[in-house]
Amino acid sequence: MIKKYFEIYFLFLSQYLKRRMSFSKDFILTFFMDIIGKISTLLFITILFNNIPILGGWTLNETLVVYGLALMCRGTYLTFFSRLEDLGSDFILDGELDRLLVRPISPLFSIIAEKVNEDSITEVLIGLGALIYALAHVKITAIKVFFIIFSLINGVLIYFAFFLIINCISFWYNSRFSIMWTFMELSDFSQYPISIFTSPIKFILTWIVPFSLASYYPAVYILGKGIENHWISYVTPVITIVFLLLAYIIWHKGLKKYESVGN
Amino acid sequence: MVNKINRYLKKRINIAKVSFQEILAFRIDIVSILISTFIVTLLSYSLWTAIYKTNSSLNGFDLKAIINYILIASLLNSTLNTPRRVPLNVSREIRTGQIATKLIKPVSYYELNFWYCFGRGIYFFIIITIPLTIISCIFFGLTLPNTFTDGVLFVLSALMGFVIEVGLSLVLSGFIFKTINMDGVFKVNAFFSYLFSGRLIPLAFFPKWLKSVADFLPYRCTVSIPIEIYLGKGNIFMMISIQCVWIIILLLVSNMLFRNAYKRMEVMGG
Repeated sequence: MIKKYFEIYFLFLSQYLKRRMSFSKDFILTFFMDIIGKISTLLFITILFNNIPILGGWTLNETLVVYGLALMCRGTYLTFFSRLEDLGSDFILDGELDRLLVRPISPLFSIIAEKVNEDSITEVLIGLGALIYALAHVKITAIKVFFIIFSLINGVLIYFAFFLIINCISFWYNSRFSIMWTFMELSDFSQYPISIFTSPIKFILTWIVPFSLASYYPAVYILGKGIENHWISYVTPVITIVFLLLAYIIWHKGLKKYESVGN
Repeated sequence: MVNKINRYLKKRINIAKVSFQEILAFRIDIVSILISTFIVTLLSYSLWTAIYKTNSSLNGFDLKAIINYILIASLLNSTLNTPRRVPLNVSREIRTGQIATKLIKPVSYYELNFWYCFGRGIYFFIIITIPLTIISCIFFGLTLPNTFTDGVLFVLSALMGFVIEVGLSLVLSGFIFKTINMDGVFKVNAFFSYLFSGRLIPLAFFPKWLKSVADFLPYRCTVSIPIEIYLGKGNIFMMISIQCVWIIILLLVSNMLFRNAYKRMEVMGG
């Protein structure tokens, strides 16, 4: 079953890449320009820590761990799941979902497999660079390396579950404009250690828009920082599962609600 | 004489008016722009509040000054976004060939683009900047400048900053005639503008070498200098003269680039 899905995914992927490659542009140059365009937050953090040694108990390297994790999770999500943002416009309003519903594979899988957004890989690479640079200055054990990989997967799943829920709103309220990007801006908060913010923001970023579960709480564990809410670091997988289940239920409710377009 | 000047100006102001009316036809998602600006502002507001918990003053900025700084920066940015679209428009018009219909107009293509910015600028000032100002006052506690003269000079300097942004966009547009793929250049320019205008972080926080780079570039005239005047920092006369010099340089250079482009296009025209 899983093997079948993997095979289909790579078939879709190779088709997509073939389509993309037909518009070849000077790839390397665009790639570097892209990186330059996306390092502004990293620059902000570096310049800031040039002026202050410590920010609310967090040093430059520790902040970079949070930043790196957040960017890698978001980048991976945007790379592999970016087709979800068109759920409201292309799939529901234009009725493309019909085409997917008659396939013998899960429609959600079909949507995801339709596109790989290669522009966002730069974000993953910047995040990885920041993370490796920062971790080179921190004592790290083999278990923690596994934990980092685990929490990256966990983080991507959180992004996936959250944005699936957000985009499913289109089943009930039709709109061409996805409110996903407004929430994406909220995820910028999670690039910083959220313990420096006021409690309403901390609460929102943990329980309602749970992006800090992908960056701050794993970082607390990796760096061994015994700050408040430490226990959340240990139960992040549980929260992720709850969000995934919720997303699954809402998606199926939405599919039932879906009533094609005219003709 | 007066009549002539009158006619000259009337023509140009009409371009601005048309560009204003043109955009009225589009429905712009004002609410979503306001919400995302609010979120971005909230992020930098909370960050700076956290930073100033342990420091009472950094590089000559206290908390109140820095909050005013980020608020004014986002207000200025909301209007400065308009001229930034000019290079994209020009490159589109060259690709689609629409430029031909613009070239036969009685006003030069250069001036058409120049005055176009003002119409759009006024539109975005009304629909985005004014609501944002109200939001900044209510939620983030934006305060007025210390003296009335500072306020007047700030308005003057902000206007000059707008003209400089227009000049920068026109210079960039002028280069489009020479090369075809400008996407990368746009991205780098956008990044430089973000970094060196002082929108990312006040220039006073820069390390020395980066600060001296910023001092040589025109970007700081658009955001950093107007805000410094608003906050009553530095030598006002000096800063306004720097802005004047940049306006002259940028308008001359962009005009020259466009003139060259017309000649080239005649060659290609056939």
